[in-house]
Amino acid sequence: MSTTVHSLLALYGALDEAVLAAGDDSETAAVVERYLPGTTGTNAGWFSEIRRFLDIPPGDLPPFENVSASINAIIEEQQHPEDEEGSTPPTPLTKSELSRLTFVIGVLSQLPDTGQIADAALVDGLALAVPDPDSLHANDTAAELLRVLRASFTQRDDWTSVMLFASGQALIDPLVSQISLCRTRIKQAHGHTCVVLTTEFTRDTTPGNPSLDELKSVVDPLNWHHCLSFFCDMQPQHTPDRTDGWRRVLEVTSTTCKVAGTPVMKTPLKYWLGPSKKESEPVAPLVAWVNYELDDTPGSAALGNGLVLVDEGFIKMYSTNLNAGAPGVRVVTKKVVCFRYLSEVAIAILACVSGYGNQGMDMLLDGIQKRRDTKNVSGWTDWSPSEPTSASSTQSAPGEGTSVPSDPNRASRRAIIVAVDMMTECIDEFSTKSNAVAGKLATGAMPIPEMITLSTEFAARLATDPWRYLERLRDVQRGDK
Amino acid sequence: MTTPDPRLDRFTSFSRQLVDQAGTVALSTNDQIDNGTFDFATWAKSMLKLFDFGLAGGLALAPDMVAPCFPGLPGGDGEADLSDYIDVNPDTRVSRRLSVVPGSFRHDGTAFAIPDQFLSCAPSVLKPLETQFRIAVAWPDLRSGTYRGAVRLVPEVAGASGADVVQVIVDL
Repeated sequence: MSTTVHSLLALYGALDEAVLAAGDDSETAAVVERYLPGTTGTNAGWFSEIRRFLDIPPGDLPPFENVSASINAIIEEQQHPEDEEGSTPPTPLTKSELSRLTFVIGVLSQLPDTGQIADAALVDGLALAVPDPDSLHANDTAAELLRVLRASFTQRDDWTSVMLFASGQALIDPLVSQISLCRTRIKQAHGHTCVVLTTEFTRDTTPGNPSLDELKSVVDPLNWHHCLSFFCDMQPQHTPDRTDGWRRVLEVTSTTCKVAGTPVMKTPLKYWLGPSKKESEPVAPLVAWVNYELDDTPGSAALGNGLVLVDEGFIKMYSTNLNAGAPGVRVVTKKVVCFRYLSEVAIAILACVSGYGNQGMDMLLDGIQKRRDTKNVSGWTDWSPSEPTSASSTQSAPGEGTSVPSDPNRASRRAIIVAVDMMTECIDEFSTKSNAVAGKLATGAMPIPEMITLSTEFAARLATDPWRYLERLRDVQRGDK
Repeated sequence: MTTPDPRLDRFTSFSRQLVDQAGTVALSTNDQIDNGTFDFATWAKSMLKLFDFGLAGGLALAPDMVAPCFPGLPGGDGEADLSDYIDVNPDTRVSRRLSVVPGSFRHDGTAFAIPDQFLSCAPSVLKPLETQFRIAVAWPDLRSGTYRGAVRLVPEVAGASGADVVQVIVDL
């Protein structure tokens, strides 16, 4: 048995497997690189990494099926098993999930030699994203959408324009077409190489659109498992409660939340809801935020499986209307995440495909709708801003939290002088060389050999400068300068 | 030295000044520590002045050309974390230099402060009628989240009215 997230991951993984099967220099690799830049070549193989990673916690990870079977699994999960007693109610795909499904089908449709992937399967998948999936003409609409994707979706940058066109032609749900592609970048954070995921989304002031108050009613982390299928459970932790006003939660995630006996990832987090009630300065009530990061309460690490090295970020919500109860919002999110045992490419793919980095959009579009549904009134946690305590608002003494030079050794003076001299020499040296290259560029000549040489020298300098510095410093200390 | 690309001249000249000034601050601080006369407030003021001079403006100048010379700069991926744009009232007549109020940028709900030397305003100067700037942080130990801080806007014309201080809430 599979889930939507698991099956979506299988579809994306099929791209990596196709690249590995066809080889680095194949047309397949070139095609995938146009849509998922940086995932081929030496970075290919990320799907195996993800599979191994998801299999680490105890449990039996369901297999990842082929493209047709995965699409069928997604479709089956949407169908209501009326005759099955004790069956789990269907979980409709979120708009973000439909967007990710459409994207990956679009890429799959461009792969050369797709004899293994029947067009009928791709059309069946796209039929979930058309404006009226229950219509008798849904598959016809989906077939036309597939034709448009094949003709116009030739690279990643085409996505926005293709979605705009498809929406205008009523080939895709307009809300699905407005979902932005996942934005990621690499960042050094707390000693690790992490992935940063950012999103921004707005809904205008049209009646019926969400308000800031509605968004606040679903955004508490204790509600996240109601909003996103990657979150299995969010368990509040009170033993102990923190003294600084931050709240604690154990986040339980998996690609197969609904399947008993499958691996789950457990991550202890702490979070803060602002603005707080006790504000010394008035803050406009047309804004609210959630900040979260790994819980550093003593003993909390034992609650998790230690697979998450960094997980922090914010969800910032603005009302774009005159009051927080009126429709119109803008949401900005940022997540910095780093998993143990996963490369940056694998982290980015897993985070984007699972929706881990799309918390703002999915909560905005689907969580609010779920809460509006009268069948889902229980189990939601209302907005309750965090209260600063003496521990959280203590003014730190000057110097705390800031780096202060403290080396009393006179040799440090020489070290500083050497460092300054070497940096100045480096600037002079490379500005001269860059000047020569820039001169040729200015005349219209493309000095490729010189640029290659200069780039090689840059790289060599970068690699050897620390050693060069140490050598100079030793020379100074020996008095041999 | 004139070059076909005048930006390179400006960047080279600016880089030498930045390195020289940073070296001067470091040497002076080191001497104070050795003499037992180190004063944090003085050091913080010097660092603030240094980064007001250099970092935000330097990042705008062709950094790739001499990037290998600064391997130790914070933010190893070379990209600062930037806030949303902050709006302030315009000044119709004079430019205003921006600087963060030392020690003011604190993570909401904590006493955690971003060290001033990693903070800058982009741009560092608002020209007449300009109303927007961002806070930039280049620090790998930044805790992502919502920060409250204060920014000073100082008119660049002698005799103009005094500095304004604006309180900001930014997400980094």
